[in-house]
Amino acid sequence: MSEQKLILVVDDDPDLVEAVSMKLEAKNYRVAKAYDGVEAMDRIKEEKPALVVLDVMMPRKNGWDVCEEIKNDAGLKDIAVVLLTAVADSVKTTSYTHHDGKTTLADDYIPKPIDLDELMEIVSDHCS
Amino acid sequence: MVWIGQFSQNTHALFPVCQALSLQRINMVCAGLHRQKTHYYFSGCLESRYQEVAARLAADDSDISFPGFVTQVSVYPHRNRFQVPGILVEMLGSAGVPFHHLVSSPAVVSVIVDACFQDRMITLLENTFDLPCSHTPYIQEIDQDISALLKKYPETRSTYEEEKIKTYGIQVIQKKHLLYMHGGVDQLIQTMQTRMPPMTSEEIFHLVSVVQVSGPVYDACFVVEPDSIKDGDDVSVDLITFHGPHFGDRYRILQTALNCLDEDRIPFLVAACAGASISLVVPSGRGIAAQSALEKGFEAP
Repeated sequence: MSEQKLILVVDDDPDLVEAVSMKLEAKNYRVAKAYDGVEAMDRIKEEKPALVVLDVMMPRKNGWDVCEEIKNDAGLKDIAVVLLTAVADSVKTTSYTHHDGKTTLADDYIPKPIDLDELMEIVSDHCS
Repeated sequence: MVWIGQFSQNTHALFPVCQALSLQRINMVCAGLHRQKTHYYFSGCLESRYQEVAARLAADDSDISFPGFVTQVSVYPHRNRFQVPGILVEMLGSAGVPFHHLVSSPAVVSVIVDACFQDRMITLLENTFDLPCSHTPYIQEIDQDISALLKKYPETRSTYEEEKIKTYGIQVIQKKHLLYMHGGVDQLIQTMQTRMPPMTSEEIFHLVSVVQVSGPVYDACFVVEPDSIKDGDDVSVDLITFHGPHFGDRYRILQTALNCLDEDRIPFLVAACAGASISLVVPSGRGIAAQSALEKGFEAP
């Protein structure tokens, strides 16, 4: 039987962390959790997850900075990062200029509110 | 933050505090509404910059109390175990720390205490729970964190209008039991000990909301598995939960939810908001209808 991949879910909304974790566990992944950027970096260095689901707007250290730190560290840069961005493209009127996750160092991004099935597909693509 | 409490016998009015705050585009950090046949209890917290608004509401309505500055302390994840709210109520009771509101979401149990009890509360939690060192004592300055991020990444903030409020999905949990308790902390603890499963058991709860009525008197609601409660006058209910990604920007979520239910004449018994989540308790058998009613105001992926 293949080894269960470890996914780190990082968001300062504990309810979202719980919802994403339950879905990942149902898909047979192991899940670690962190609730801000500083805690996320600690967990990443300790546990070396296969993939990090990373929120952007978080206290103490935001997701962009966490992503930059991961990708600039030779020992961590192979960890896939999926950013949870703030606003969906489908919003009708917006003053938001979408910061495309792909122009950052992240491997993928998904807009909030996230579709959990879509997130599972993204995770599966990067973990296969 | 500031806390507002209200006891009213006017159950026909559509909760004037919620309406007033919604009209002024003021978001509540957390809230609770316990509705019974003859009266309702409301509890809500606003950011401290809305202190004057809270004072005005209290001045205009003698039913509203506004005691001053408060702190919200959240414990998570609770994994739905009875231990977390049970230990919190016992801890606060034995330490003599009064609280204004205790409310759960799917992952979080939040307690509102007067700001002067903040340090004591953190010490009590450190002594009672096994907390990771990265979590405590950490006090989030809401505005400070967000303004620092906005300076660096201005594109991460948006102002927009949408026809329906987006959610991560609306979940209906059917055929659970609602247990009401009313009284002082000692009575709550005694009732929890006699009617609920032992705290060491694996039994779970689905929602807890305890609202301060006046002084040391509380109104408490527990939504639990039907088999969890020993004899008593509990009510069969359905629970609806949903949460959205930017509750901090969404002043109209609770009011929209209550309006949706009211339009379809679906009565609710309890509404509770903590973190980014909303829980609504409706009479058993009305959960699916309530979900359909909410779809008029909310959108799920």
